[in-house]
Amino acid sequence: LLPRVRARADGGLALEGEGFRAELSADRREARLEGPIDPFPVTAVVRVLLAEALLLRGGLLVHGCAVAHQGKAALFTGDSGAGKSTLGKWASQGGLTRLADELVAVLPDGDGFRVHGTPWNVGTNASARLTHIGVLAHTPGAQLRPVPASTVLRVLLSNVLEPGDTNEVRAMLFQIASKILSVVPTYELGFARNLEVANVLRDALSR
Amino acid sequence: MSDRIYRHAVGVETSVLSGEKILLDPQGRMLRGLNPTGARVWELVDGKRSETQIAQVLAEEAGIDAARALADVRAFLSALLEKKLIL
Repeated sequence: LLPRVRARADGGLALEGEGFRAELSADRREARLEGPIDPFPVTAVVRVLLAEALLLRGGLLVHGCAVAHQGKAALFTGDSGAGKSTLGKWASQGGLTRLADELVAVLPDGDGFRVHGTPWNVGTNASARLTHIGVLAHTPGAQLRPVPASTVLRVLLSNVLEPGDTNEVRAMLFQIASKILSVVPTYELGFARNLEVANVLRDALSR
Repeated sequence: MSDRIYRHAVGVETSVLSGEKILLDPQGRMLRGLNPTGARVWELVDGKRSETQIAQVLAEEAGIDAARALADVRAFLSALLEKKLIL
């Protein structure tokens, strides 16, 4: 989803994706793209800019699915094929708000964090307080079980969009991810392709 | 065998999650979780204490044999050195 992002010596960013290249100015006010006329390169640039803007505010842009109910949200991340879109679909059919099922924006909010929908794939222009975060698993029935934060950290970090290739950026992502996981309870959500998962999440978010 | 003194590599990030110490290597690519004993050794690696001194502290704190503590500390520090988490 993201092109390779390289920090330039002048503070700008060089992006290289499938069939396109882009250069972002140091002040991020200008982007020059080379490649076919296609929305994807523009979207890729916007994603990088959003990921960077969130990072500078102590937040993250996460490959994941976030659903909300009664002002509380659960965010689940996982590699491609983990079931993010499937979860979003069933949760939505079960009456939960699908904030995002591809990229989720996470920002600090008081002592905790808040997740925000994004426009990619299926998303909602809304936000909710993050009360559950975790990883996805395929199981015969829906179940939400606590897992160690370190288990989630590994998956989360591999699914965070990195707006740069520097050690400094990765250190910031690590510290922010650690902070999120130190204040938000961590889970594994197992589910099959049915509405049961919506009931499990509704119960969890209603408590 | 020489009694080496180590220090944390520059750029190693640390955090504590659910009581577990987590290290991120300087390149930001590899995570390593430490058990409580490993976390204590990490604390004791300060560029001043030698392997033997670290082992002595552990042996006293845990009430274990000093020779065994030294062997374990050396093995652990060797693994951290291999991962470039200490120098």
